[in-house]
Amino acid sequence: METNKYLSVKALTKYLKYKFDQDPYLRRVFVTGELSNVKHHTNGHLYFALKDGHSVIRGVMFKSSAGKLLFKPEEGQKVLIQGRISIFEMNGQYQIYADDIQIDGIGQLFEQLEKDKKELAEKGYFDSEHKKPIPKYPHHIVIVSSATSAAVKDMITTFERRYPLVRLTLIDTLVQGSGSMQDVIANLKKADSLGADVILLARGGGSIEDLWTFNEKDVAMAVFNTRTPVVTGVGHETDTTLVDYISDLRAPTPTAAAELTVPFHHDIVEKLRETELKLTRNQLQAIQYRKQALLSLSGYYKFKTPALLYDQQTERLMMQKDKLTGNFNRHFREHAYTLNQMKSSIGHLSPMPAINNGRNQLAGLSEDLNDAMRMVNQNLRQKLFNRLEILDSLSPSAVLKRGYSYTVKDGGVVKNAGDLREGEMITSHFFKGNIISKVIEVNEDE
Amino acid sequence: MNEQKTETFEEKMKRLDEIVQELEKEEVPLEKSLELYKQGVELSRECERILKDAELKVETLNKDTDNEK
Repeated sequence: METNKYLSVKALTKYLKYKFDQDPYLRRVFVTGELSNVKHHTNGHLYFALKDGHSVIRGVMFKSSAGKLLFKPEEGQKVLIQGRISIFEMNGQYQIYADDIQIDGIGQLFEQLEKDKKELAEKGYFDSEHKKPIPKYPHHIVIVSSATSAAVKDMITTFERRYPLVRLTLIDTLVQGSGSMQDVIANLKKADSLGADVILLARGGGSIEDLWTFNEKDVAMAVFNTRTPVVTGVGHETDTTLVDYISDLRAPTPTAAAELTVPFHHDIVEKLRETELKLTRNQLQAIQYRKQALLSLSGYYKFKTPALLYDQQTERLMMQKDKLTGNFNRHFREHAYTLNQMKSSIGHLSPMPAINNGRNQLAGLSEDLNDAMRMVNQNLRQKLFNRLEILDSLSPSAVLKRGYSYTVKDGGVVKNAGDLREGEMITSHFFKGNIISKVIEVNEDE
Repeated sequence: MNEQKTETFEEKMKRLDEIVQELEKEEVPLEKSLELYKQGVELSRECERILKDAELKVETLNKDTDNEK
């Protein structure tokens, strides 16, 4: 039969598969390449293509192995794959059946990273007590990044939009590849010396290898040792590098770092307006409050009715007065009573009866004395009378009565005619009346 | 450091904050509160003006070591 020469597709494929499977070189291959068309199937298997600049090979990793992977295989990752090459009979395609996939070269780096991270965490370098506060309104910001990168352009735009007040110093820095670690460390030091308010350490998105500089322990320590607060924005949201743990503030992206570092000027203006309103309101309140206080003070009932201020005292005064009068009267009565008592008791001791008695006796005695005196007086008067009668008969008037007269010159009785001279005036007194005569002749003898 | 002669925006904002806090105390005498109020409003206007007039200043320090841009 001619047709016996022809193999079925199935038979050929089986043959080819047999050839692959029994080849010792293909049973265990080590191949390196870049992942593409990565599909995580819902059944847990992983499908992918592995390529380099020249060729592509399809690949599959079954659920049992894929579940043990230490990373999530993604498009573009360079990987190291262990597996076997075989043919999938249904489509006749040869493919690699992967037992293990590792990120090319980076695996060990990750291991180192985990070790470093653990060490720094244990030393407490990630603790919040080491996080320096970011000034609320930074004045001077230093960006450590690649000057020409899109990340830096985005950051500048962000500052322009949010807070143009700031002064930016951009330190052009190598952020990937060889020498970048040293450059970042040196520039962090330089940035720290500028006396700025904040340092932004930033780099746009890239592969994990591109970002690896920011996973270096030395770089992390340089961030830790800056005196200026450091904000990090490295890669995309999903990338968290070692510097992000140790920095004072971690932002998911460079743009976010710029946003987190400065306030939004509209917010400040808003806040200023609010503050002004608040100040005004407070001030008005303060004035109102004092007005009210003044009003209530001046309306105080005692100010309105001043008598109320001294009413109490007046009343007290009156009470005291009453009390005083009462006390006085009581004392007075007490004393008056005592006085009366004393008076009546002293009445018995009065000398008046004795005095009256004496007085009566005296009156009697003086009566007797008067009677006696009157009798003596009578006797004496009688005797005097008798003597006067005798005396009377001897008096000049009795002589004159008998016709005698006497002469007086110059007040003196003239006893001798010789005392007179012719022409002298003399007065002669008679029993009744007198005459005034002029001496005509003096006869001494006779 | 090139510090400005006058106080920085941050210092002004801080002072404004302090004034607000001071004024919120009950026992501020009226005369003082009026003075503080005046200062506060002036500061607030000044800060707003600064924000309005601000222009971003960017200075680039190039790599002093090797390498192209």
